[in-house]
Amino acid sequence: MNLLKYNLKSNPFQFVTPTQGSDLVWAGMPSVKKQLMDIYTQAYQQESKKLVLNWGAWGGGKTYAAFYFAKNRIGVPDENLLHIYIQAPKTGEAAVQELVRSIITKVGSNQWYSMVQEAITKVGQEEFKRIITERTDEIIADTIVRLFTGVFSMEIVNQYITRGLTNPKLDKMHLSSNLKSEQNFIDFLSGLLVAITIGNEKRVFIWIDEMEEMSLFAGKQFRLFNLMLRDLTDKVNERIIVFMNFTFSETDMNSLRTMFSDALWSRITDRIRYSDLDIEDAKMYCKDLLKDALIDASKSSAITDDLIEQILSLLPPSMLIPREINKLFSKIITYAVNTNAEQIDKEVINAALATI
Amino acid sequence: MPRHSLKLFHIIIDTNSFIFLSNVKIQIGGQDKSLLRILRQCATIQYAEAVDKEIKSISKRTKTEIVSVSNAPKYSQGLFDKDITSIITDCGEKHNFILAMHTFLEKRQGNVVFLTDDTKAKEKENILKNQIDTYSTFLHIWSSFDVVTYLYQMGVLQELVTTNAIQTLINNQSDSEIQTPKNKKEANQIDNDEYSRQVQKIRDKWNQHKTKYTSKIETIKKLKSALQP
Repeated sequence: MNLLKYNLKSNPFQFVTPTQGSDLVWAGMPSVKKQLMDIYTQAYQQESKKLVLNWGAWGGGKTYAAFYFAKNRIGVPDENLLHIYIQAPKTGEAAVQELVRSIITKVGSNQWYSMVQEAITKVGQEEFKRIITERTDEIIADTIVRLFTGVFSMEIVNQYITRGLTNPKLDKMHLSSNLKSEQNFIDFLSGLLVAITIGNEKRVFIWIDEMEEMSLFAGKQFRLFNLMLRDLTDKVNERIIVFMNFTFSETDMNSLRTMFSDALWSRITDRIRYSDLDIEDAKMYCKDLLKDALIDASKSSAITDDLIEQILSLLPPSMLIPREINKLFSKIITYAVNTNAEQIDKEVINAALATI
Repeated sequence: MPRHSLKLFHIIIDTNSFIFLSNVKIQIGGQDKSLLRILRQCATIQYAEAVDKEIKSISKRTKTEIVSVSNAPKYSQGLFDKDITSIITDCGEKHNFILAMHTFLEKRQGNVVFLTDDTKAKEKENILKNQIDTYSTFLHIWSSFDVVTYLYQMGVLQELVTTNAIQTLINNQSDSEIQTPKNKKEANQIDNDEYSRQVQKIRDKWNQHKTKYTSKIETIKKLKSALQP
């Protein structure tokens, strides 16, 4: 899309949720950004467990925030920051196993291997095992050492966490058993997470998106999933920060509270609300995006402040969310390009809207 | 006789509620029992023949619970301005409503419950909703969630089991609702955004339900603990 004549490098209004790792711009919502930045920086300054609940209406920027922070935004050495983004399981059946597998496979066996190796080299195998045993138990510590040292096989690790190993393979690896119960899976993951923070300054930031899926789980599955998340936060050390993105349309905190078990709710350390935008917030959001996309910053924006306000006024208050704002502005810019309009003005906006 | 085994209510149950309550299993005394089975011990359950026709193909039922109302045609005219044979929409609910009214007016039964989880039949602006609104002064209008609340109040279900049951009812009922946007998405009738929006709307509705009934359980819990010897 050629946007040179509008003084734009690219269309800043992304129509769909961008992919992780793309160069994202934070626009508007300064208080949300500040709270997240604080959590990231504090994670290195003070050792305190964090379970962060990001909550707000659909399309309010929670996933975007997770993707934005996939990049190192706080200037620490890259090797000290591990970002893991996963989506919560869609159904309650085997939800715990699915969550654990997602986290482990997202990082990849090879990376786990090199991180575990590094930790053992730093502190020695005995100390390594002692620290993990302190958090979980001896069997978990022993399992991690056996799987991630010596002759390492990615295939064996993957098989161990997915289908389980055959008895001869278990014997060969000197492992007592496969992961069976939900508790086994959580213990194994906790052990691994603790393992990779031994002897270094690494912090692990786990973003679990779409946590609202659990609100429709059946009773027993809902309870178990909550219980296991609580156990995970209890067992990992202070270097693991978990974010839960939860789409929730109501604004009442008491209602939100009923969406979690008491035990999990009591572990939440920070609650960040992605509030509905008012017209001023929305204007700031648009201006920030446009500013970042300008080719020549000394020249004016492609869409004037008056026009921004005019376009935003077309959206009902309930649609004043980044997702809907992006859609509308993106359509207008695309229309201007397609019709070769000299500038984006009232006429272009009206004509673009007529096509929607 | 334990206090909860007194049959305080006379429940006229709809097909949806019959199925939902059959599907929620509770462990009592080391045995898996359905909520419907538990409810049968605490209330008299009945339903109209029209409902039986819907139930018999999908679930086991107790024949003694099927009741026919001899003067149903008169009720049909009086309540729905319709010949009984021409009732097609919300057929089960309307026949059950006739049975509920008959039980109350002619059998002189107090505490008659009209139990349905068909929110569409209960809420859409039509003659049935009008009659439900009018007669809710005399009849109790319940959903499966009210059954769970009642069983908790009567001490049949413990708190944890009750909240589990509410969650499972939400799971069962939302499942079928989500199927509609799912099918539309698969048929490319709606895009991903619209799908997410529609699913979130369903989730919002059930979240509100959960909040409402969790709050009821909390309120009941307070009284229960105050009344404890």
